[in-house]
Amino acid sequence: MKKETILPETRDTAFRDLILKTPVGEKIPTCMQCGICAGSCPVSHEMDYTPRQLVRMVQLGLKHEVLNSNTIWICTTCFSCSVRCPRGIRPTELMETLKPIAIAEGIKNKNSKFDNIFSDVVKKNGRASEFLLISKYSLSEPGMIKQAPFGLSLMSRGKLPLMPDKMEDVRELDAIFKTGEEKQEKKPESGTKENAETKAEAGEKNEGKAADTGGEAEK
Amino acid sequence: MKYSYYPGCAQHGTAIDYRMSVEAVFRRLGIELEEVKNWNCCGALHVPDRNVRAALSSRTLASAKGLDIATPCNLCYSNLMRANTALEDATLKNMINGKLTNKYDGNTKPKHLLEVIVKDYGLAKLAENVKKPLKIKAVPYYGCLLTRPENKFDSPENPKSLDNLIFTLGAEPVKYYYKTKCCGGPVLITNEDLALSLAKDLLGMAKESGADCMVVTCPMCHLQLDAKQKAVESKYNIKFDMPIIYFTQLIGLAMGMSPKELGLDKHLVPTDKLVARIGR
Amino acid sequence: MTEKELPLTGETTPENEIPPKKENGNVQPKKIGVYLCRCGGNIGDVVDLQAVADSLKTDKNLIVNIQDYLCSSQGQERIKNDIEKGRIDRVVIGSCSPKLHLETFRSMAKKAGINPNLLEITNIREQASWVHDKAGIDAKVKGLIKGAVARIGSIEPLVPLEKKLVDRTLVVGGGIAGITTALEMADNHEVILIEKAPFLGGHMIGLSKTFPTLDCSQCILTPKMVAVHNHPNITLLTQTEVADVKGSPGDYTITLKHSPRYVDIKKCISCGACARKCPTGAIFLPFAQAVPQAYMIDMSKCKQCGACVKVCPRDAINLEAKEETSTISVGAVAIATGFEPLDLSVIEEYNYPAPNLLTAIEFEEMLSAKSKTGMRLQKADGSFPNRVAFVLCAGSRDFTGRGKKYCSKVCCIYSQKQAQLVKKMKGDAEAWIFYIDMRSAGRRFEEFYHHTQEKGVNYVRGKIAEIIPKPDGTLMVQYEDTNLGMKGREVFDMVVLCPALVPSAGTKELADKLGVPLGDDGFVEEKHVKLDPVNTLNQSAFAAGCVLGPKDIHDSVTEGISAAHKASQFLGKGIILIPPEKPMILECNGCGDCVKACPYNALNLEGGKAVLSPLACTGCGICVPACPIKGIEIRNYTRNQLKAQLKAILGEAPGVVVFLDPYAYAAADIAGVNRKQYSSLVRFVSVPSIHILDADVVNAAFEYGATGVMLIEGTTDEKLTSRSDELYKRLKKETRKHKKPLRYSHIETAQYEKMTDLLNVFATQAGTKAEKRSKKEKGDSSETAEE
Repeated sequence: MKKETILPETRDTAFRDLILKTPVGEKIPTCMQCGICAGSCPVSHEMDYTPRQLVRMVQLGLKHEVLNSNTIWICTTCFSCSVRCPRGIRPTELMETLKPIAIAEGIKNKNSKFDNIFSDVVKKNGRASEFLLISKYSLSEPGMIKQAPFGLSLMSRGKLPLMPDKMEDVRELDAIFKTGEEKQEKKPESGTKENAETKAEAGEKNEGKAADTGGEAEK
Repeated sequence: MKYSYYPGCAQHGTAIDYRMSVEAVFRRLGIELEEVKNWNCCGALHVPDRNVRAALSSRTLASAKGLDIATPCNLCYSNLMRANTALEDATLKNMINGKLTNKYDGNTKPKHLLEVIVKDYGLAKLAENVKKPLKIKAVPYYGCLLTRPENKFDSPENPKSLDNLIFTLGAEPVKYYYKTKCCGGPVLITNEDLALSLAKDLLGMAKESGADCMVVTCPMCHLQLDAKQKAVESKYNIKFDMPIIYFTQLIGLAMGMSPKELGLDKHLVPTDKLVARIGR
Repeated sequence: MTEKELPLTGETTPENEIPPKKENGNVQPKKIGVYLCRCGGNIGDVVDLQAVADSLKTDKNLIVNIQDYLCSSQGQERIKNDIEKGRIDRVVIGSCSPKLHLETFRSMAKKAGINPNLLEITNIREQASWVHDKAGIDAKVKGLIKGAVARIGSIEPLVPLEKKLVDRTLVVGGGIAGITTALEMADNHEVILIEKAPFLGGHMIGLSKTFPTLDCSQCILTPKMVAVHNHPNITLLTQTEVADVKGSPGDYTITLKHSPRYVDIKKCISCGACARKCPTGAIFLPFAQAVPQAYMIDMSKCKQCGACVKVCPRDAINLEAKEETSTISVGAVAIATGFEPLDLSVIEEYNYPAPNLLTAIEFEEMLSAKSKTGMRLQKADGSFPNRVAFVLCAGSRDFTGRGKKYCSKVCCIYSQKQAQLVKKMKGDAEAWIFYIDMRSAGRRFEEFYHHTQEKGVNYVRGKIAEIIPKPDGTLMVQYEDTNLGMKGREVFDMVVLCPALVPSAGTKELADKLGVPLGDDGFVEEKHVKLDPVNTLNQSAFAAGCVLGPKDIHDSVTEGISAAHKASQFLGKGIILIPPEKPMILECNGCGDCVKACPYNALNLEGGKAVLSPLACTGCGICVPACPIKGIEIRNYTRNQLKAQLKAILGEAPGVVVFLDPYAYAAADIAGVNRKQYSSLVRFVSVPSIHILDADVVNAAFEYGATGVMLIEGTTDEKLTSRSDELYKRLKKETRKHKKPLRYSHIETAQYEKMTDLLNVFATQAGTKAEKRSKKEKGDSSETAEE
């Protein structure tokens, strides 16, 4: 990935302030760049910015770099960084905070795709069926065909039922899935691009309502 | 003893063996697990918005009917614990409750089944049920989300409860410095190479310790280390042959239950050698 | 307010009082000067001092003046001038904390010709402008100043009591700071130096070479230890700790506890005959240069065979020795109890302890006089470590509660010294230093850093994330090289952790016994962080070395010299002045309740009347509420004086009244220095102890408009704190009719954060209650009560 120059125009202070106002943001200004997060991280070598660098970029408001880095998607959410950080910052939760924002910004990759499929399955059935997840994901990721023998080996042990397990009643779930959008009350401030795809990904019909609530929260 | 029980999705899929052993062992120990009606997925790590995950877990927690809620899965446990923390924010709590039919007061205590056995039931009492001391060496592998970021029963870096359980069953918990390292499960689908490399480190360290098996507490860890072990072996051209045992299966074996009853035949890494050792 | 004619008890006599000047036969009202300090912008930018001054103008007996810096000679000159010209005879100052300049101002007042007690300071900086924003602060300051004016008008011009000092100092701790303090004092004063360990030298005797000059630690320390041993004015007691402290500043009776050595130090000639006979190695000389030079027995190894007793030519060994105590009388105490390393097992990902995983202190000891390896650096298997890593900030700079917040200051430089030693011992050995920020501030230190770089030491900017011991005794570390943004993994033969330095065990117990407050980091709180760095809030207790915070040898020595100077200065006066604010017995029916109540045996019945022994009295005021006929008052803190002050404070605006004892007052000052914000509704009223309060005063506060009353006690004197619960319950009961919140809290000086949190909670609570009450009242009158 080509890196940007740090310039007033690449520093998005609204984005920075948005993150600093979230629960995980409070301690971000106190980062001393010790690197214990990246040193603890089992996967930081795969990231184009280490968690430490991500925190620094948030401090500066380098929105584009932050949201386009693979860092937030590589994170396995193991929380090693978070229990070790001497300043009490929880980089894991920073990643979690950034994910929905990246999705709303239209960032697309394998991981966001899988997350989207996962969310859809849960929203529809109430429960995650491994078979449904893998087969849906495979439709868009042809490479997954390599996994067929693995799937068969699971099936042979009765570990991959074809009939998805379902809740008896999923009516509540639609509302629950709106929780995220409503909590993103300050989203408009950060200068969201109008992007049809973004909306399709982020939550279709609820958009009007989300915007309303957002407005209210700002007052 | 009675708990409200939240099995989590894997118990109805890849973790069928876990489910069988939980049912068998808890019945035998007289610990009642009453499954929550119409429960929903906790969102695992893949519903990207943590507020949605907090809401999903709140719905589950609200249905515990005054009991502590027990769960066999590290991911579910972590999401339930974190929901309780998140709901200390009154705004979020109100918003979430606005969407729930059963309102959640924030007071249900989530417990992992390991905590139920080690803390609530008690190892002293469990020892009385041991018919066949195991006389094997076992890796206590906790995974990441059992003790991080929140738990109320063990250390986030160097937990001891599973070690103590293994010891109680007559086996030797080996010194294992990777006991809370990530297994790679969360990126298995999207970044298999990375996931396999993490599993390789764990399995390699386990092999180095001379253990007969690894003991796990989470369906995802099991999937990674058991079902994917063959993939790791062929990718790195190493032979591990390391049985991955759920802690409930280990308890069952020590109580003299049959391997089949405990679902051991469902594993992808064969467990017969291990079973034979124990049988001796 | 009318003053009763107050009969005097005890030995105080108003000496310097200026009798009210008479004009035309009438007593002239007291003339008060109010001086407000802008303190540059520190106060002036937040408080509208002009508005405060204007609000006082209605009182014709006041002169009000605002200065930029009242503590400057110009500012002081103005006050002095006003006094000398007879324009005023009492002074109220609104400025920084009295802790800083009260003595300066009072000595000026004395020179100008008034009793120094007639000058008081209202703290409007640490307890106002530094902790509130502009909203509400003017009303608060106006009230406080008016309260002070109301108070000063009725202050008696008392003179302090005098008490003879004991010219002897106890130095606690035999490290370099304690040794220096003792030696610097001993030519002019008698010194007792006690040390917990069986030998002198503290941590310094366990060091190898000292930075930045690399001279050997024992070479520079041994002469000083010998000097202590030989000094005729120093009594050195090893294996000794303070068990109990009785008495008061300047005149302490201290009980010492001596743990048994089983060898008489005075008789032992270190011939070693005992050790040669001992079958278990239980009797030993701690190390060759140890002072005192005498063998000792490790009883966990001794089998009581008596071989040593028989062989000793000097009959020095007594296997039956028991712990003993002794009592000493001293006037001053120097605390030099030093530090210890943080227990690193709390950092679980470092897996300490493990073979070849050491603390820097263990590394040093291996190369010091105390070495057990013949001063060789070696691994657990005896071989030389070819790859050594140094891990800085192990437990320091940690704000999660797991470690310590502060930087331990010495690690950056000593780890580089240790790395140099490794390279010096073996040129091709590798030394890596993992650091976050390389802090080499101070003379000769950056040069030292540069020199270490030249030696080929490898510096990595990044905190070690985890250390995993391998079965072969090596250690695998994982880290991020933050200069590159790359994760790294290395295997070392030895890893040296540089631990956070914490106050040594027992610091708190000793400090509590001496009434010396600690900071929230556990180190002794200086009287003033910058200007009085080795004094404590106890005027007869001084501190030096690492008990005041982590520091190097140079700074410990500097503080040792300073503490010696300050202690000598204190003892040199020969007398100690005791605050004259003691109880006066106005009426007595001889019931003896006060005698029973007094925790210090300062009251006795003589001829059917209570009589005070002023020197035994600490002025705690427990006798005041104890007297059933209200016959006892504390001078200058009488019920009427407190009420007048409260009336004036609350007359300006309602608020929350918070009574503070001197230790809690100090906590509020520290909150100010740390700019911990809290509600500007809080009105502090300083009292010598919260135990002087009774329902009279608290009810008055409520009547004058207090929305809540809080008592904050900071003393660690159990004789007082054990009675606080009872006091609170009594007050709660007797002030119930006001239906306003009353709260008691024990907050030690170090807990200033807890204090500000509590103040905020209480202010909100009191506010909500007041609101409800007023709503209810309004509701009642309009008959639309909603509640």
